[in-house]
Amino acid sequence: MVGWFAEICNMFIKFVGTGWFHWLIAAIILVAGSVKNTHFRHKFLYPAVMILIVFFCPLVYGTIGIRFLNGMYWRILWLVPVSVIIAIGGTWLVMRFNNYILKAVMLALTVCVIAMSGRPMFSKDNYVPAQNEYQLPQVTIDIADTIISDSLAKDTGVYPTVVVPDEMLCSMRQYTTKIRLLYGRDAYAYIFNELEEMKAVVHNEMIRQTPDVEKLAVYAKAKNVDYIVFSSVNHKGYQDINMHGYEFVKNVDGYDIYMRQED
Amino acid sequence: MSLTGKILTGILFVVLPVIAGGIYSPFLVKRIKLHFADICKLLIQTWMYGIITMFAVMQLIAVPMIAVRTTFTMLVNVWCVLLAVLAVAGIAGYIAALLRIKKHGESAVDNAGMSNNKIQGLNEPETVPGRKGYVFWIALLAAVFVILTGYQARVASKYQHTDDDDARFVALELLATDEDRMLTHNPIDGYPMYWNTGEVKKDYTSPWTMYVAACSRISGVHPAILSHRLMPMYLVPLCCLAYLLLGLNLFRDDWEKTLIFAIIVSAVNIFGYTSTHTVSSLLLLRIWQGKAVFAGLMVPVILDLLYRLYEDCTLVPEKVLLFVSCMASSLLSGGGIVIAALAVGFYGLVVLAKYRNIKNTLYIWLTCSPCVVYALCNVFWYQVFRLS
Repeated sequence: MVGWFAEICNMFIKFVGTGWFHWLIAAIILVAGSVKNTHFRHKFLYPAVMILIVFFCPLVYGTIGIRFLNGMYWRILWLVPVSVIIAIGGTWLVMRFNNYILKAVMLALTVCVIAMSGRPMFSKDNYVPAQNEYQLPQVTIDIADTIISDSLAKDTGVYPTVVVPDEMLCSMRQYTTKIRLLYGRDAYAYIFNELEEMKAVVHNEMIRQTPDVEKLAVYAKAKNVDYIVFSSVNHKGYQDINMHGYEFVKNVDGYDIYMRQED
Repeated sequence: MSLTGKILTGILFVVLPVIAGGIYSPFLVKRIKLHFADICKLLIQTWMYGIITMFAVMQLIAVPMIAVRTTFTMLVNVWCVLLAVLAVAGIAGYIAALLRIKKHGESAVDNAGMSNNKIQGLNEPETVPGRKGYVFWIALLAAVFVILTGYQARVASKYQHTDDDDARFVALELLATDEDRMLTHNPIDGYPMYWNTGEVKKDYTSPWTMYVAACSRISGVHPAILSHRLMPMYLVPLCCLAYLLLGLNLFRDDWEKTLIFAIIVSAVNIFGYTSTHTVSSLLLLRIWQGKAVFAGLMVPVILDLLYRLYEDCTLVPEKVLLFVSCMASSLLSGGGIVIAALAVGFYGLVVLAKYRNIKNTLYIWLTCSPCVVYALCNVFWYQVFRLS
């Protein structure tokens, strides 16, 4: 029980993040509004309190949360409409004035307080200029196109299985389904909780700066990997893989593509 | 991206929902004199409820069709037929609403059936003193709201945000459009996969990816372009309008208060990057994902409907809309299934405390029956469909 409660508290802290001031303002508005207005109390205070009680109840988490909301229990907090409550409070504040200019000034001040107490969504951390209309890394698209054209030229008949550096694990198959990945995002437990042993060996070599190319080639061949992509910046000493059954095809945007030689 | 693709996407996300939303118009417009503000509200409502109905229709057909393993093309064809039916019903709804306006008298009532005087500031004759200043003030607030909404949609659509969950969502959409497969392969690596595995298990009962894939197939736009570039352009404004509707309900059609409310909500969203889990973060960073649509659109819509039922627990159209919203929430995400049901459950208790009316409370609770059905399907999927 104590363990579950500690987990819930951690989830709450993670959910609120740096937004404690917003939650505090919302709480003040909730209490102040509820004292004055019965409907407000019924509509906002009681449901919010009920949701928080349920959320913080270790029994609910232990019986329902872990089973049905595993990894997303914190989403219950979406039902506490913090932004709506802040906006209602702000509206009350602005509407206390009768003069339109004073209303406009008060609205601007309210927005300024929100801006200063929060963090901007549109920052360089979250958004970068789009490299193409897919809004995917251009290098992924270039490499995928190269591999597809190469494999079609050889008329392999089936989609090639590819091993790529970690930075392309998530984007490659958003562009095309004509490429199969040996492990994709599953390298970090996503669809499957554990990566198959042989795949894990390949991934472990790929994340090393200097991969053991002999070992990598043996395991990659065992899993029928058709192409291996190395980063010419992050990887070192991988060129020797051409002595272990993979031949160099092309360098694309700083990535070297190697293709399996026919046995 | 072709111009045809852009136009078709616009039709799928704006024109068709507005037409389909017409089925609710006889219930939404009880006001006899249709003024500019009323028409704005009606259009927002029909767009909102129309698109939610489209979600619900997809959920209704997609889950069984995935279960019996039909092709994706078959799903799209059936959905198109149902959309056509919905569009015809919507047009019939608009005609019925117009006939109703012609038939009835002149009393002005809002959709909760109560007399409404708050909007009269806008509807007063031009000779009334102070009206000009009031209209200018409202126009200024509306302009600020439109600019803020446009800014959010523009940035979310134009700039690139990378989210690792797209490795699953967009890849599933691509598998459907390119290979005609619905959840039969692991989206991460592309190999055939046992259906009851990990994260993908949730997608069987919440096949939002199939909705996006269907839009992609119809419009001919690549799922990555549709998700990352086009959907924010339509869904971010829709979410902002959901808060506007909520405000209109909370402030009883007082546009001044509502616009101030909506501007502050927009400000909270724009400066709400306090953690990656908040509604604001999901709304403005990855609105193309089902869970974000649930957080950004369905949460305010469901709260709006529940607040109306708190005002009058006998309202039938609101209960129907709540039922449809719960169905739509089930399409959007596994979390949506549980959270929508929780919201209805909690507010049902509030209504029970206020009215002491068990019958109406039960009706309200029954609106979340789709969530219960799909939650059970999710848990007992294998036992129900005996598929492997």
